[in-house]
Amino acid sequence: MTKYFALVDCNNFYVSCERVFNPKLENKPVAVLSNNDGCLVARSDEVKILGIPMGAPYFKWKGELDKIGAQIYSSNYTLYGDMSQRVMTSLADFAKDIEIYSIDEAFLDLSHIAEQDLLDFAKEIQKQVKQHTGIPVSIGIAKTKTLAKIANNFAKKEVRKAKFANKKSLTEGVAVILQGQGEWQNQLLQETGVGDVWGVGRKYSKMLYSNGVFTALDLAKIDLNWVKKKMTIQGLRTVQELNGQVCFDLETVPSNKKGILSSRSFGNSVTDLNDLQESISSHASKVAQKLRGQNSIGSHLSVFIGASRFSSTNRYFGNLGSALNLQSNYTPDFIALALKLLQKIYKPGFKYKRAGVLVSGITSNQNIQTSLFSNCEEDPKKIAAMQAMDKLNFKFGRGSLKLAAEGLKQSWDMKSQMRSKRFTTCFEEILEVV
Amino acid sequence: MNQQQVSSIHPTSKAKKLVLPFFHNLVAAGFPSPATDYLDTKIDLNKYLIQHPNTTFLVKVLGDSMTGAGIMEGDTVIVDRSLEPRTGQTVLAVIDGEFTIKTFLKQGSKIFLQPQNENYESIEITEDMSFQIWGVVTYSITKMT
Repeated sequence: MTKYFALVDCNNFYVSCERVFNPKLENKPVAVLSNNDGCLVARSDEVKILGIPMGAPYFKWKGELDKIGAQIYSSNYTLYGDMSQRVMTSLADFAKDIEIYSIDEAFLDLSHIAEQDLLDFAKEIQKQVKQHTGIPVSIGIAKTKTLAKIANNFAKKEVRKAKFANKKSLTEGVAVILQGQGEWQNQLLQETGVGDVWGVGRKYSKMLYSNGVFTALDLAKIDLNWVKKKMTIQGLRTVQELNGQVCFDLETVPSNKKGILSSRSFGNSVTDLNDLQESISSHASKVAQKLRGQNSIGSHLSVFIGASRFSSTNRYFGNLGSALNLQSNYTPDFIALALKLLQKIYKPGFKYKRAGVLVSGITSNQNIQTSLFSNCEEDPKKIAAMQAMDKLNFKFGRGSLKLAAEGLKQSWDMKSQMRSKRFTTCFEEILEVV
Repeated sequence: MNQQQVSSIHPTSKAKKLVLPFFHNLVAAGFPSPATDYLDTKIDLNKYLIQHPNTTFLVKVLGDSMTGAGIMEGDTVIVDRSLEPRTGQTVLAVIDGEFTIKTFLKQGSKIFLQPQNENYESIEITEDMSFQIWGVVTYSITKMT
């Protein structure tokens, strides 16, 4: 029996999270801003249709957004991380195996489901996730992960088109490419731009355009040796996957390590939050640096702090994780998140002996999607800054050049003035109902 | 369906102390102590009140429309989204974008949301309303002191 993969991803995830706890936002324009309210990291369909791009700087588009009465939120990663975990747990019920790819995407192994039942099964998944968590998802199913993503993109786009044409959607957010549906497969490949193919980063799409390769179908038909030369073996595998050959099983997109940990026991016990913050910042910085060193990006960060285990009056172990809003290896993002997590688990009055940061969900740098977040987060300046920092630290010794956060007292006051409440993780901020 | 372990370290906000009983008798051979079969762990209120942590949410009640059912102003209710609402159960619903906690009544093909306070009116759900059941209320927690 042919093994099928499903790519399940949440529709406008951050926006959807906000809508669960504020149903008035349904069908209204909503946008979510990045750290420090800088750029748009999520847009509802009503905002997308105005042509406001992903990653657009907020100040530039504020006028337009105010004009349409858009509701703007600062990102609420605590909420999104918790909702993500709920979605993934709900999905896990359906799959033989599951790979959490990012905060809002997962690949499912559906090899236990008969071919003719796949479509109905997918609709069941959608229904259950919506009921359990309130989050709507789109699902693409095919023989390879790359094709599953193509099917998913197609279903998502179709739903959006139908919505704004005021017609009923045919796919309802689910698309399946079965073995033997070659014509259907080619049609989808034809309709998919080469930049939207999983594994084709921005780096490659420019090169491909200049070689006359515009659609996924064009790419699928290209000479494999040429691909291997121009896009390395990863690119070759992507093209093979487009042609139905399984090259990536669950979690076999080469990740050098499953997780990278940086931790240390303190010589003298630490009691002050500021000292812990410095330590955690330093660990976060180290794991980010290690990731860059192996051309990887991470998607999930967890922080832990431990007070002596064996003394009866001084026993506490705090551990909290969260998905990064965006897979990255950018030190400031890691530090920002790690410190937020630390804030939640820090308890005064304990003598801390150990602290650490773990990054997981590691994938190759090549897999950054162009269509998402390109303007803002994949900034060449930021990449250059990190490269310069790494070079200097290599030349003059580790830690020569640090971010201020790591060694100086800093008030961690991210500009999140428009953040919604942390409905699922903070008792003082739970949903209130009349 | 298989129960999968999803590896995302994400506990609730307070670190939990798991209190384990201490075994006095580690018997390598011979008869085991009869007491070892009856060891109990401490009562964990989370487990008792929350059957499905993954689909459960906490909500604070600001109004008094359900006092007759024992849901008082200021209470915290536990809401489970995975349960199918049955007539007579308390639900958290959304009508035209507004949250409300009421008794869910299904009479034939008609649905009513009924308050439990004579100062409030029953609401019949009609075609023109946008309506959804957000979840079923399983417990209400009243602070007494």
